[in-house]
Amino acid sequence: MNAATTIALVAVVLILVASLYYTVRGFRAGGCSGCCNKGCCCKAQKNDSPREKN
Amino acid sequence: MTTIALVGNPNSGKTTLFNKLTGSSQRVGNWPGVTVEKKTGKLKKHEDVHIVDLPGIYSLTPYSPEEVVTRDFLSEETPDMVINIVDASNLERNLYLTTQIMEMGVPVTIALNMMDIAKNRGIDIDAGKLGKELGCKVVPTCALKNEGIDEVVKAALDSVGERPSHLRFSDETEKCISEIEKHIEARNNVSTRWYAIKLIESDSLAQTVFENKIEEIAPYIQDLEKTLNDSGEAIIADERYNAIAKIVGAAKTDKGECKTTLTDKIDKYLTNKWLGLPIFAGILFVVYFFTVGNPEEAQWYNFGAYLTGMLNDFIGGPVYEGAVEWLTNANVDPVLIGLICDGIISGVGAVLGFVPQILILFLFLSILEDCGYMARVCFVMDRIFRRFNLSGKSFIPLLVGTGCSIPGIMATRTIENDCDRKLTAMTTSFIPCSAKLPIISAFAAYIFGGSPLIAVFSYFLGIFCVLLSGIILKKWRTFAGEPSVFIMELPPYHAPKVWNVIKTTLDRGWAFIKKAGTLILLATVVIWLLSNFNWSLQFTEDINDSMLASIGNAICSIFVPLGFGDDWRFMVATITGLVAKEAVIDTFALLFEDGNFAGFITSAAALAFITFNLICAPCFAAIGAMKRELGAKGAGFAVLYQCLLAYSLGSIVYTIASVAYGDPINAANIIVTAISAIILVYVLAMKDPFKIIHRGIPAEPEVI
Repeated sequence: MNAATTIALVAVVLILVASLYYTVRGFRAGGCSGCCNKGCCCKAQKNDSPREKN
Repeated sequence: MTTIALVGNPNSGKTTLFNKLTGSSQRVGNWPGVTVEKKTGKLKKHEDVHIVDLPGIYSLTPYSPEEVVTRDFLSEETPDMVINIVDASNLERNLYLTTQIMEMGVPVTIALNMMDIAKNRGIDIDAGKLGKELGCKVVPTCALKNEGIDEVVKAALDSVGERPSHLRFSDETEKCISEIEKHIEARNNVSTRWYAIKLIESDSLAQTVFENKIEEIAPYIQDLEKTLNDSGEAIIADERYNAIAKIVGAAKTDKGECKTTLTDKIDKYLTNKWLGLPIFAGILFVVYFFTVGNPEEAQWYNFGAYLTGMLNDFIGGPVYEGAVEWLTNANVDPVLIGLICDGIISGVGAVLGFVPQILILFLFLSILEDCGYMARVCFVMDRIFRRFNLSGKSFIPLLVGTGCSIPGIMATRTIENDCDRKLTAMTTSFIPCSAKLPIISAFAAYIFGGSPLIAVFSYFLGIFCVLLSGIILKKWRTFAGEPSVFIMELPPYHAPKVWNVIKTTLDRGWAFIKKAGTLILLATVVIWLLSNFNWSLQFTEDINDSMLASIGNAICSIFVPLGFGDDWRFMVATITGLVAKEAVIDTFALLFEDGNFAGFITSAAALAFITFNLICAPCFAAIGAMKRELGAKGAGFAVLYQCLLAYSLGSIVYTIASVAYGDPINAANIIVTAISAIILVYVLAMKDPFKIIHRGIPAEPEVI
């Protein structure tokens, strides 16, 4: 494997790790992908959910 | 630390004021129920002051889950100050809540909002007199125009710690209240008077708090009811409105003649019994006409498709070719070049190409929302929904769901009836969300000559499925019950606020871009790897030898009755759509040359594909939201129901479309369609064992 391939591979892996991190973070915030109030409503949703309260 | 809560009737401008006070940019909307959970922020230039925006509420006796949030916050967390946002154009009704908050003993400052609308209607309110009568500070504001904001903050901060006065009722009622007060104690700084009044009203939450005192206080309430010959709840409501009438009489001058406003004139047509729905369909057609189209042939006036074409040319041209040339010159391994260029750039690029269409669609939708038209659509839909055991309240989550199903499912909390709430949470994802737009748009472009009718068909297919589910599911005990009574306050039309429109549009676009850069990127890499390697983990030139092909081929026959089971690539796209609906387009981009699937699917099968993918289980994130609202069992049932309904309707749509297009129909299709049709007809015709409950539904929606 030449140096250019290694660098490109590392770059791709880094991008994938970053996207995995943000995907997991989005899911943990309630599945919100920024669609509603930049994620904060989904956090509030977890706290305020009548079901979770019960 | 000082906590100030913003409380008021729905659509009175709480979130607008919250945004002004905190500098945040929470979503505001021109219909009731935009806020369904509390939001907190810090007051600008006051780090030690917290502002809490609470869902709109008409009284402190809550009916729906989001109203419980407001009541619980006020009674359990007792803020240091309440800024009560009062709609000056509907003073009496808004003061009904004000007087209850004041009874709690929490300091109150009134922001007399929408003064401009009140003035336009000839209503003149003397804020000083009103404050004197009520016993608290009243500040005239117009949150939208940034008027009176500083004054209301100053008044609120100055009044922290001051106990407000309260209304004085008739002697009989006051006597009953004071007797009850002797038997109960204050809780969380909430006055005994407030609890006593709630107990007279038979408020179930107050009764739970003083469960062991109910027997002791019951005789006082019975005496009062006997003396005044009415129920406790009605007595308190009467007393309250009588007191409010006196206060308002002293402070308000109504010079407005009962003249027909421009809003009334427009509503005569837009909410007309016969014209309302066709006008809505027409508006949707116009919106999609400017949004959807074939990017390769789009004219400049098909803004969305035209800009998509330009973006596709840029990504497929300079970006793709530049990357290939650069990586090849750098002597990068060809397999890795394939992953970066044919995988990531082509796959993610295909999804990103739809950003202009998303922006144009939400530009139009947010204009319609902001000017007040979408509230009218709820009213128009109520008339139709009511015939199918649902109410217009169920349409609000569907409207919110056009952006993303997750907030749509959350918005079901505005529905007080638990059965309706569950049913709506299960069906909200039927409405095409922004993630489904690329599927609709791609099929419209490649198969149907860029026709916007496909998008309109998709929208009404979603509404049709919600109505169908209303008939079917209401026959089961879990969903049976009287639909929520729909009382809708139609806001007056106003010119859309440019910043609101821009913000909503950009939020949607940014959410789409973020998803393309995270979840879609991951899905792209997985699909590329599976479609370029065989089971021996060797790179394969022929996609038909790949792992993905063998997985797809093994199960694609499931979709033979829907017309697209002969090609495993459509099967794979359907499966990846469960991760995120945008991944369907991503999959097409990786598995078809230039993502163009024309010639690989008939028009009838394309309609069946659209039907199945729009109605079947939504993405994982939306399934998660359903789990939070319905529980694991409920969400599991919802997913099963959605998939079965999607499959049945898909096969029926394929049969009808095949006959219409003159295409041959396979035996599997005939069998599945016949079974689906028989089951659907049977379930629809089945006697409703709970029908007696539905008889109480008013024939027409109520409008204030």
